[in-house]
Amino acid sequence: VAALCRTRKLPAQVAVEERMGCGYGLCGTCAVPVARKDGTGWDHARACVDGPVFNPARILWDRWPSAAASADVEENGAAV
Amino acid sequence: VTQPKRSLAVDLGGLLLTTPVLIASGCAGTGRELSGLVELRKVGGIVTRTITVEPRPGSAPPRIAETRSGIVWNTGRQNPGVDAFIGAELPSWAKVGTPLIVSVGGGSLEEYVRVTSALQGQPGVHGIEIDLSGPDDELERPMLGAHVERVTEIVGAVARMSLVPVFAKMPGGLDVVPIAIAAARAGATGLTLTGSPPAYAIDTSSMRSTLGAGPGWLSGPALKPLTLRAIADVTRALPRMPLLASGGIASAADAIEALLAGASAVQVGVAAMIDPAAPVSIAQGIVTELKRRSLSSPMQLRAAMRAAEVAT
Repeated sequence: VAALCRTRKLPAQVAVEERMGCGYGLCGTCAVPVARKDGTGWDHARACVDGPVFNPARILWDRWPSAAASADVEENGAAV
Repeated sequence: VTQPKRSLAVDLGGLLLTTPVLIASGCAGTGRELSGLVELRKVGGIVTRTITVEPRPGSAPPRIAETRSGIVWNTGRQNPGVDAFIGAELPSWAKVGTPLIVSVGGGSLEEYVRVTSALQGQPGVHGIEIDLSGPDDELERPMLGAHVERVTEIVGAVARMSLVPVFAKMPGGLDVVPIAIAAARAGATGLTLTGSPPAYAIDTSSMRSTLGAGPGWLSGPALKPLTLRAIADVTRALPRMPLLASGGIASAADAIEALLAGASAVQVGVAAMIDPAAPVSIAQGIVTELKRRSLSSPMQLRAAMRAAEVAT
């Protein structure tokens, strides 16, 4: 979805999932690599409290192995 | 017969807590998250996640894998660096008012010294916990705290500098008594026993580690017997040292066991992630147990165990 919206220049928001420890923003487990607004780099944001909805253009998909793994599964048709 | 006045207060070598139940390092967020979830005035103390000199981005996700009796995790000490911590997080913690122990980490002696120095005199810092479970970048060794001479050097430097009580957190999964003795001789106010032991989780479909970082650490109920053993052994070696039990403490019954084994206080980690109010309910459970035994303080539990041991 993120790639499609990027090529068609469509605004997009994505709700993401990552394995969570607490779900309250306490433990820092559900890390998603997200670019800073000021363009100075990126941080691991917490999916539970900083997300779960992000602008997909700011997610560093190549730094997020879990997202790559689930995309593979979907392409191979092993899971829906 | 009048009941003795019951108090949960404990004195950890000069650090006074209203209850002996703290939130363990890495399980308390950044100072803002907990306020709406638990009555923080009823939490004995809070240990922050580990703070280093420079910001650390942390490990690649996934960072956690569930096991039958706990979690395997690796967060890679994600933190904003000590300057940003002081600027952005410490004021929120200071507002909370619960005694705050800042976990100090690093990969070199200089890093520990610089973080401690930056925290010096900062309002809202009531204690320091030295995290010794990380890799030693300077000496190129996998675990800094596994070596007696290194523990002596780092705990000694931090303890000499610090104006607040210093607790050395002993790494898990190794013979803790020699390093505990080294930390005590180097000037630690108290010891946290113990950090998470090293662990691993395998994902059979990808045939790789479940965690993005590869290896991890074990936390959760599986650790309680290991924690009790560490407390019992170190209590025997260092009878006067304030000890904080950390690892697998999830209920008031667990906490009572740790106090009986010789701990002065307990830290709650995974249990606080499941229920942020766990530190409060555990403290209430300790009160109930003290009432049942007609004791007036947690320290009397410790003394009762000693007396029973001497009698046998």
